[in-house]
Amino acid sequence: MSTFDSVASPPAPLDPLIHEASRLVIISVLNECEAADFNFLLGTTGLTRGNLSTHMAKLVGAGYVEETKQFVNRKQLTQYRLSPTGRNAYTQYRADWVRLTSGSGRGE
Amino acid sequence: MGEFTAVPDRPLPDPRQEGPVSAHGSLLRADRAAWRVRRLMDSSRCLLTGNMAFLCCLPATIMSSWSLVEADWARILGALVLFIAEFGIVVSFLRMGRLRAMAGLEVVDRVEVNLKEFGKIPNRRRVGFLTLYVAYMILCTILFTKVLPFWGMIAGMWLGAAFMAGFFVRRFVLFQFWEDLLFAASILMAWSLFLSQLRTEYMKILVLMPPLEVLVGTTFLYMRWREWARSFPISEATIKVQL
Repeated sequence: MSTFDSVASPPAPLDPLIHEASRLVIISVLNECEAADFNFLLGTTGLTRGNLSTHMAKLVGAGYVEETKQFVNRKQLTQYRLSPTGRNAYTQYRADWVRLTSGSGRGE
Repeated sequence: MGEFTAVPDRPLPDPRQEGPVSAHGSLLRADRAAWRVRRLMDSSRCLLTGNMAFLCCLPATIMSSWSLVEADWARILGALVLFIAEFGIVVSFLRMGRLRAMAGLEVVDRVEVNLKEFGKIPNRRRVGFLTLYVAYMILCTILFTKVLPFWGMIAGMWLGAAFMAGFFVRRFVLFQFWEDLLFAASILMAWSLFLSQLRTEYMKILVLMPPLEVLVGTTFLYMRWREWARSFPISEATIKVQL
């Protein structure tokens, strides 16, 4: 196989929205449960409130995560759930990762 | 915890360009976080797990007790305890979500959701399942008492005990809770005591050991859950009862 062949058929890039350290952790955590609130994500990801809010806004904006806000004891409770799109994207990301690191995605 | 400094966007290196090592570290970190959540969620099912282990070793313990205490009250008591333990499975399943809510953790377990979905099946199918279960139990009873020879019966019981213990060993491999190994050992011990038909002086104490071991395992699993749950930041909105 020539170099031109590998340039002509570049492998699909990894999803940039998931391919970020903190968001990868958030999505991995959400993938393990049906839904989780903000504090649970704070505890499991180790991010600061500001960081987590920013990343969650991006994931919600992309439609990867569904956000539900409700009032419990007159206090707002925000719950997050991985949407079917997000779940598919994560599965695809893992598959792409395996493909890239195993060498099959190098245009061979 | 300060290892995740992602302000505002710091994409991981492309494994094709920079080699998989650095990006792999982040993937491993994500996997570790997911694994921690899996363990946390499983420890919140401690009452259900403990009840299952209890139910696995209880028949053997009861039958061993019957051969030691040959009285009618012992038989009635044994049957009653077995019924309560079966009922306990349902109660502990219902308590799982409540246990998390009590700790102020607003997280929904997927296993619980899937089980609830299974519980939503129409009544006609539910009756069908129940009939199948009763038929299965009757068939097993006939098989064990009338059809199978004595060695077959013993082998079947050993196989059942090994299967139940294997379930908890598999859980140990998945979640790495030493309590699961204790549960597996309790089940094997209960059935070994029953099947070996030992008649020693200490038999009465030994027979009680497996359920006690299960109780100890469940307590430790619960303590583990409580300790982890306490380490989480809890909002005023979610907290109901302080553990």
